Amino acid sequence: MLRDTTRTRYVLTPRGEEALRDGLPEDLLLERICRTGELPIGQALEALGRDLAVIAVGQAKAQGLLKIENGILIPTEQGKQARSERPLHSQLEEVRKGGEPGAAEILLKRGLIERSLVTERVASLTPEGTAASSRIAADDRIVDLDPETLRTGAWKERGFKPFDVKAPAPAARFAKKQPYRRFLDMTRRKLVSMGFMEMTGPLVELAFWNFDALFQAQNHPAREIHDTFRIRNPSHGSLPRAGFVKKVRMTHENGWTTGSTGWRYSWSSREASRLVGRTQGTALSARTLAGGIDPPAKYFSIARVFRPDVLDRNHLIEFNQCEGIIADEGLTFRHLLGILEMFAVEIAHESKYAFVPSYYPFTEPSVDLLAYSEKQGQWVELGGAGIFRDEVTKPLGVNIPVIAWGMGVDRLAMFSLGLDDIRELFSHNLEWLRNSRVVP
Amino acid sequence: MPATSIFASDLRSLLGRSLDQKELESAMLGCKARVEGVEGDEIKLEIMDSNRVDLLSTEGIVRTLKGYLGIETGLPKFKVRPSGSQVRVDPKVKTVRPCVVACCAKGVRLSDEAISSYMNLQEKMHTTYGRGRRRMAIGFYDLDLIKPPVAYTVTRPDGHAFVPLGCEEEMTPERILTDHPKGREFAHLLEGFDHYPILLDSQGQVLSMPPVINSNTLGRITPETQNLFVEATGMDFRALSLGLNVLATALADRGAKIGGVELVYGRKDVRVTPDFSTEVRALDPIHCNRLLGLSMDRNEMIGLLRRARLGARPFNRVIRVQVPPYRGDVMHETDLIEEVAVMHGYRRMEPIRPRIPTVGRTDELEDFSDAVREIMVGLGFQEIMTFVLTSPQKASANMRNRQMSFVEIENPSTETFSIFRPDLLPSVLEFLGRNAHVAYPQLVFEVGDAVELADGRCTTIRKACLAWADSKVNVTQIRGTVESLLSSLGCQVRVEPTSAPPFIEGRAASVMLDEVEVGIFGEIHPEVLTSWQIPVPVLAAELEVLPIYRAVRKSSR
Repeated sequence: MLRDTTRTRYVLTPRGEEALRDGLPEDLLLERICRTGELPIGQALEALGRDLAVIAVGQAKAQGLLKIENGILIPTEQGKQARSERPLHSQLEEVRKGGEPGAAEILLKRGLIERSLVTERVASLTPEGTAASSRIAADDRIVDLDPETLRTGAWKERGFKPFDVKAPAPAARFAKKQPYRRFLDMTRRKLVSMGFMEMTGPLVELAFWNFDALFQAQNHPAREIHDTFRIRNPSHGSLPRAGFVKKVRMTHENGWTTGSTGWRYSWSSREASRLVGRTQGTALSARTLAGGIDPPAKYFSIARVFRPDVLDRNHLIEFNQCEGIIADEGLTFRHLLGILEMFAVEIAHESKYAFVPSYYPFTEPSVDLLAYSEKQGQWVELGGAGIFRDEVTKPLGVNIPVIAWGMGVDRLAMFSLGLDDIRELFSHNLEWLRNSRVVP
Repeated sequence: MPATSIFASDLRSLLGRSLDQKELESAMLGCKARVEGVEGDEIKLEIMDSNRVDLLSTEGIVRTLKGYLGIETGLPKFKVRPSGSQVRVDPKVKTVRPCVVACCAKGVRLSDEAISSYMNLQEKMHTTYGRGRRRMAIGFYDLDLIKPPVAYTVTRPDGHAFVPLGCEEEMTPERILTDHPKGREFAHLLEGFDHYPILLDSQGQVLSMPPVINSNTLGRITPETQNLFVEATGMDFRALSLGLNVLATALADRGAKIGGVELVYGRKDVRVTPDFSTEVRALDPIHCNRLLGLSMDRNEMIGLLRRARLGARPFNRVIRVQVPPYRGDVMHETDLIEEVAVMHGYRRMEPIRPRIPTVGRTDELEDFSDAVREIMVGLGFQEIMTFVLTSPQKASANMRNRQMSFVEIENPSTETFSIFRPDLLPSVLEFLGRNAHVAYPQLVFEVGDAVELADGRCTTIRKACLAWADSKVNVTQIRGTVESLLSSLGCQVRVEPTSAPPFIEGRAASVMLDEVEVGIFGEIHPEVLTSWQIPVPVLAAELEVLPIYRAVRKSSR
């Protein structure tokens, strides 16, 4: 037998929840004013933040809790009393407990609570039902299995009461790896599976490794203040005590024995010892080559790099570069294209790609890898590569071809995670991080 | 990479034929330029080689396109005739701006397109190759108004007054630097000098005050101008000479007759510019095939080099290559090999997947960091990732620690990213502050890099930072977490009471590993919470990963 009764129910809105937790704006304001007796409006704006302060003053004034004289907020007697009683706050408390607030209309108008009509349907037993229930009353089927029941084996006789598995359940709270980090981890695993060894190195780098060893002349535009962060303290580091420093110098000045004309200027060791925020992961490749390699050799790095820029949806001031080198006798430009093709297919999962001429200061010939993104309906740049110039390899003691490659790993991550704002890679949004999909 | 733009109508008339959109894009790629967009008559380009100064000009692009399309191949021919003009260089310019080059261009037909093309070229050269006019500043003048010889000399700040371009009244150099917009823009290039460079003709008329501004009288170019005088000043003669060649060949391509100018640097040091002599280089076909992985014959390579507008002919077993005077990028044989490859076409080369048997390996500290991350996620902490760069306010003032030293950037683009963070805790607290509206408890961590300044050296340090924010917390919770983490890693530590600015006095502890502090944990001080606008108490720990890794590795061996 069913009987319906309809009643009004009130619930807190998110703003109401917030006001209950942090206090209503006017209460916060009164608290602040009463502490000092009075408060200039300017200080109130500063203390509460502009948005909140405007609401607080408006409300308090409407409720006759304060008056304004010459830009100074002064509490009324009623205000002083309200400070300790916080009447609206206790009403919110009432709503939270499921009760009906006295000042419902005010709270509704301020968007602190919501009203809804709830229909309660009460089912009661008909006489036939009552008869049946007395039979069920004998039901001692198990609701919660407990250690005692387990130990005695009593469950064998009693059986289990079924649960409604379709009933709503509370969400589990759990933690995950950061999605962008997970993407970088995956890239790392793939590169290792392709036989690459990982390189790491310092974030604050000598200009020597970041530029000079890569045959970027000391007046190269990339070294200027618009493109490179220079360190103030200490401004300089010390150059490696090794024979290759002199060879790098001579290569810049006159080509040394590399067959190059060099840049034909006077190389400064002071400029080379300048400390900079690493601008390119290639600095790690230069360090690796100078450290001596045993060919055939394949290396990669996922390196944080820094570039002065404006932070917006397309640019970061610091980001990650994924790049590396392959060194072996007999490597050719066609092998380099083969590597890029492998990256396009294995890492970026793109099947339509193209190679176009490009320029990097440290490679020749150079090429960029473009892939046609079905999702975006356009060609996008996935990475670049080239064969290290002799001016890079020979001074560092390497006399075989070295392929250098790089991938736009941040952009790949954005595709994979479905982001269109690069800043979201370093998301500040805890809920987004918690709810992100583990398998993109 | 430099961006520039050209006019489709101008391109058509110089090229002698029109290209549809697809042809244009593919031909431009062969000339190291990418079409970024077409708006009406304007074609926006990105030049994919910052060393190809010649591609900053419409004329240079057309010259290269003609080769690529086979309209005109081989070395472009340029002639210099004596002009009788002279520039006398006063040794006093040596300290402020030592070098000058110049040429004449007679019989120029300056259509509106041509003027806009040259102005655009001048502007692009100033900003890119000229490094904001420091390395090279260019001036164009009406040759017929100048009475040669020209003197390149210096003047005092209150010396030679003249009417600067776009103005009506005379100004002294000093006033130009403070009152004229161009003067203010480039004043920094003359800062610290008590005399400024100036170009004067034999009657004392001012041509310009390089690298700042031309005279409005002599330096204004109109469609009526028939004969030009072009000069460039800077710090390095070779760089200027190349830059002038780019300008002079661009003028010659529209029919101007180029006249050489004598530059008298000293009684025994007289040079003439422009210098259109070519550099000769050799390309060994064996090297070319070896690097590209192809088997072309020599004649095919010669054909491709000629399409790249280089002079090329057989010489013994190699190819003798002549590099035109406007190209400064050919430094090595591989630069010629790239020309061959680009003209051959990358898409015609079959990729080869290298079969190189190597063993892949991850970095051990990275692996160890991954282990830390795995344990932390297992302990219920959400991983976050933040920036290494931060501000002094965040790193120290917000942390109740004004005594900190950190690595500062000399030229930050914004105060927000002006130092390298010395530890991760501020980044993690900032994250909590931004999530004050999200349900508690909030457990988060980051494993990342910081840069420490110690003994005048910068060291990149791998750190792990974890935080536990809830309406009610107890220091034992964070201690339990840190101990679980470290014991899972196989590391035995001691805990000793300590005090540190971000933590509440009496509620912080050092994590000691063999008498060395490798970390700290405790309850965050309310002042710090307030700075970050975190409405609940927070427990936090920060650990150095490397010493823990070393201890674990030592004990496992």
